[in-house]
Amino acid sequence: MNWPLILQSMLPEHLLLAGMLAILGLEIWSGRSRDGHALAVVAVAAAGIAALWLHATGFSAAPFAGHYSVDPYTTLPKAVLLGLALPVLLISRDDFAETPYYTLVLASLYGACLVVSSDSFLTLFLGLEILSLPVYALVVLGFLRPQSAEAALKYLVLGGAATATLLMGMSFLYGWNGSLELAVFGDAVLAGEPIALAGAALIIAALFLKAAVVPLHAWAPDAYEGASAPVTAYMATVVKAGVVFAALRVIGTTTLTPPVLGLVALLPLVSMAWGNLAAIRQTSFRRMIAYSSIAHAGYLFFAFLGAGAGRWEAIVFYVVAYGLMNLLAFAALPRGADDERQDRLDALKGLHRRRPAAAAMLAIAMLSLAGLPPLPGFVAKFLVFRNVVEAGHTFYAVAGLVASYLGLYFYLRVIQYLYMGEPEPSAARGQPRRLAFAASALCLAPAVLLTFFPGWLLDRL
Amino acid sequence: MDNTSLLVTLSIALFALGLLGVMIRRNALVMLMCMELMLNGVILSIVAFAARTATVSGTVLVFLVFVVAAAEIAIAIPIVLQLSRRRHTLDVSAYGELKG
Repeated sequence: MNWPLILQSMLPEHLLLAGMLAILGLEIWSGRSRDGHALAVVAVAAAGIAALWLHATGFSAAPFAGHYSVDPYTTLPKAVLLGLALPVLLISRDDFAETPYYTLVLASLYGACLVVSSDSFLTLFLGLEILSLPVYALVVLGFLRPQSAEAALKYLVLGGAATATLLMGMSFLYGWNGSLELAVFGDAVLAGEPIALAGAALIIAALFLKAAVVPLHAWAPDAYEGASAPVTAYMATVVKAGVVFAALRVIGTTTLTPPVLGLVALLPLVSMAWGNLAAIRQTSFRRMIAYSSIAHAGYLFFAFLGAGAGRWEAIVFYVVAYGLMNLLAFAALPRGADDERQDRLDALKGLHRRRPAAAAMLAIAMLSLAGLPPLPGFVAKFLVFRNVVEAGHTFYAVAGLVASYLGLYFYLRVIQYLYMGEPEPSAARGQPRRLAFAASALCLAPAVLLTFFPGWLLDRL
Repeated sequence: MDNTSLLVTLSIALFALGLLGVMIRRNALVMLMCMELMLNGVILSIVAFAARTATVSGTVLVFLVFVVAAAEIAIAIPIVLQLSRRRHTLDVSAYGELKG
């Protein structure tokens, strides 16, 4: 075993693990409940910086050959995931002060980093499980509403079904080829034998279930609504991004051919249309974000229709733009008297009068999620659809664009609430929180950068 | 039909039975059992393929699946306990506060 190599290449993971152990150890040692917030923020920031450093130096190594490898294509997604987790941690201070929350988030991030670096289905499976198991507990942890436990159970049962489906697909590919390497997936799609195709289709279906693509989306609205706001923000950004990076790891640059291509084209298309239509009739903010995230999962998987080379660029840019804007919305969301009231879309009525800065940030986030130029959301959608057109799937691109602009209605409705509604007299005049302000600044600064200089990031991909 | 294809057919049947149960059964504990049935179907198929291809990685995977299945149940049971304390029933359709 080459210990220094393992230590260096797994540095982001090791820092997360160290943070997790430090939080737990301090609590055990001091014998009372402690605030893990500061340590968790430091651990995630350090891990993110370590990932960026590995990326900047162009580090690449395979400490566990065939199972786990590190190169610039894995360190950048890690830095993105850890960077997106930082605002989530900053806004969780008010809802969660106790240790378990931070340990679970760090564990889940460890899984996300493992997924991104995986070379075999073994590591991918382990990473996906470490990513999602803590989230089941996170949904139920706050227990702000009676629905939380139901939402968590639904999420857990469907998540377990997704795991079993993924494993079934893996076992078919393993039976076909006798190997658990991720590269087998590409061969299987090209070979076109029934058992190989069935394996590939099962794996894609499992990833669709984990990323909430219609018709495998039933858990998402309930889980998002039942969880508390920071956990919803975490599921909508980091978990979704982790699953999409897993798909990128599995599918890689394989050119998809008809039977599998149909699956990856049609379900995301339905997902965009249904997500955007169902979001229109929601009255809860988190439910609306859930349907919006179902639509965005559709756009993200649409990127796989494009040619192999453009996928990486489109997906990383999309994840960054979508994640930042979603987190900006959650950071700017004003606190209500209780969770139920805070979550109602009506609570945003006339926010402009009470908190103009928060209203402006929410409006920017909504416009970018809707994909209006010149915001980063537009550039991200443009990259995805340009690749789809260049690969010759003009019909799917046009249908996808039509479906995506169905979403304009409900994003603009939020803005109508913000700027035109009369505030309810009983609405709490909550003061802006310092940490939430830091979180929104952390999202807004890169978003502004991406609005004016999208090429800056694209040149580095 | 040789042994491997017999075992794989059996494993697919177990998997499908579990999937059906997860979708149509309304008792929270039975749903969890059906989820386990799906995983057991997968384990059988991995073991059968590992024996046929004479490779070790599949066998290692089976142990990891055991651990993950146990962890999943360890999280699921407290959630089911919370639910049954609150509602005094395990019937999922009686919860019904979430729309789906």
